[in-house]
Amino acid sequence: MKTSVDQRGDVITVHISGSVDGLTAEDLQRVFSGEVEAGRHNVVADFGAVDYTSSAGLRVLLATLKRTRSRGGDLRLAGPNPEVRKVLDLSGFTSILSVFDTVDDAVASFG
Amino acid sequence: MTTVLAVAVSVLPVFLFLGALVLIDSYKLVALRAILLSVFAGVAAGLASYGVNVGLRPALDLDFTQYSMYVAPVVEESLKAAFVIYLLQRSKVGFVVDAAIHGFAIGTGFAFLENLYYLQVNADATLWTWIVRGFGTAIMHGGATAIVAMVSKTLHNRFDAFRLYVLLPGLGVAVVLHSLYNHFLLHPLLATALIVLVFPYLSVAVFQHSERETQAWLGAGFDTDQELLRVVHTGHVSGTPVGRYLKTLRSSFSAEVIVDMMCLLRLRAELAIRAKGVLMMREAGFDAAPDPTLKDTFEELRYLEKSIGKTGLLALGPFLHTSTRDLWQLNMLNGM
Repeated sequence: MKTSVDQRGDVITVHISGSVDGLTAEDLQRVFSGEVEAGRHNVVADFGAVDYTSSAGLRVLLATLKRTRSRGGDLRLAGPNPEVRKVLDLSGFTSILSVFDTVDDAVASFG
Repeated sequence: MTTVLAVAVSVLPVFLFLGALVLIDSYKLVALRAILLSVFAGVAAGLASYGVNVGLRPALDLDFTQYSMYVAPVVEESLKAAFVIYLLQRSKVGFVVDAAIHGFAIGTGFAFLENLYYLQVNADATLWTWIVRGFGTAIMHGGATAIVAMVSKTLHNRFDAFRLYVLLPGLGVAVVLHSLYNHFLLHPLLATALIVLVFPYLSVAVFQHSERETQAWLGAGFDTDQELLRVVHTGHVSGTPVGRYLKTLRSSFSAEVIVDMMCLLRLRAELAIRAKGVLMMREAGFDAAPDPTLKDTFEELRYLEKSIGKTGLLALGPFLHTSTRDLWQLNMLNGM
């Protein structure tokens, strides 16, 4: 799994590629935590290049969502592939986590 | 002493302990109405115990002390355990944590009724009596039935169907503890202090262990269900163990039933993912919004199970995940 971060205004986008599973979830958590601790609470997770996410990856998303919201921000998801999107829908996560088709839409949603 | 203070001291502590157990459960495994049902079951057990004890003591020709040491614990713990049997048989309990909560709730109902009775017949008793009854006896009742439920659930997890004998070890421990309490080996206030100190510590230890187990099950189970769904959705079933197994069933079942079997596996995996998703959201402190499509999904599930029939469901057994925890998660969703 690889990550890179860019910023547009007060929104940071974490671009993720590869698989988010038990082996890589901790690394992803560190990236998210680092950004949130640095005061950047509006976060977009770009899942456009993520081919698979396990329960470990979903837990990272939930933990980051909780942390950003507790600081007045939010975590939003962009571009998940149909399989990942299906799992998010089935598990009910889309009732609490906003999902957008593109990174631009997700960034724009922060207003 | 005033009746209000006596009632408060004798009744409130056990409800506060029950509330504390519910609060420390990160997954919110037991709904309020289920807890209340267990409390009412405990009240019913209390009424039944009263009836049995009143009839049995003269029949056995025992004095009150001997009866309370050796017979009453067996009667009372067995009657409290009756609702535990129901909960396990109907897959209403998924983990040791919710078993503990249900068990303690049953004991709470029992103790509530018992203390109301003692308030009637011993109205002039001192504050210390109500402290012992409220903090000692009541929590002993809750703790004993919690032990029955936890041990029974742990043993029940080893089987796919309920077996009555899983209740015996936990019931044995509860009867012994209850009997020892009634022996007054320690001064009642000392016994009460011991219960108040030890029980919270034990509860936290049990809950922490169970939550680690729940986390592990959630993770592994979710990933397995996700993998099955991925295989079904990509259509590459035939090369998988599931697909190869279904091929072997073709000689015994019609094509329509085989298709229904695939649909059932898919639907069960989807529901399992939903149930685990709900628990993961609760673990993270989020409330899972009710899913309006669940009712239709469960109807479809029932239709498929009827269409496949009992023999078909048995044949599907290796992949259908019918462990007590798998059935519990379906019940949890169905109740949402």
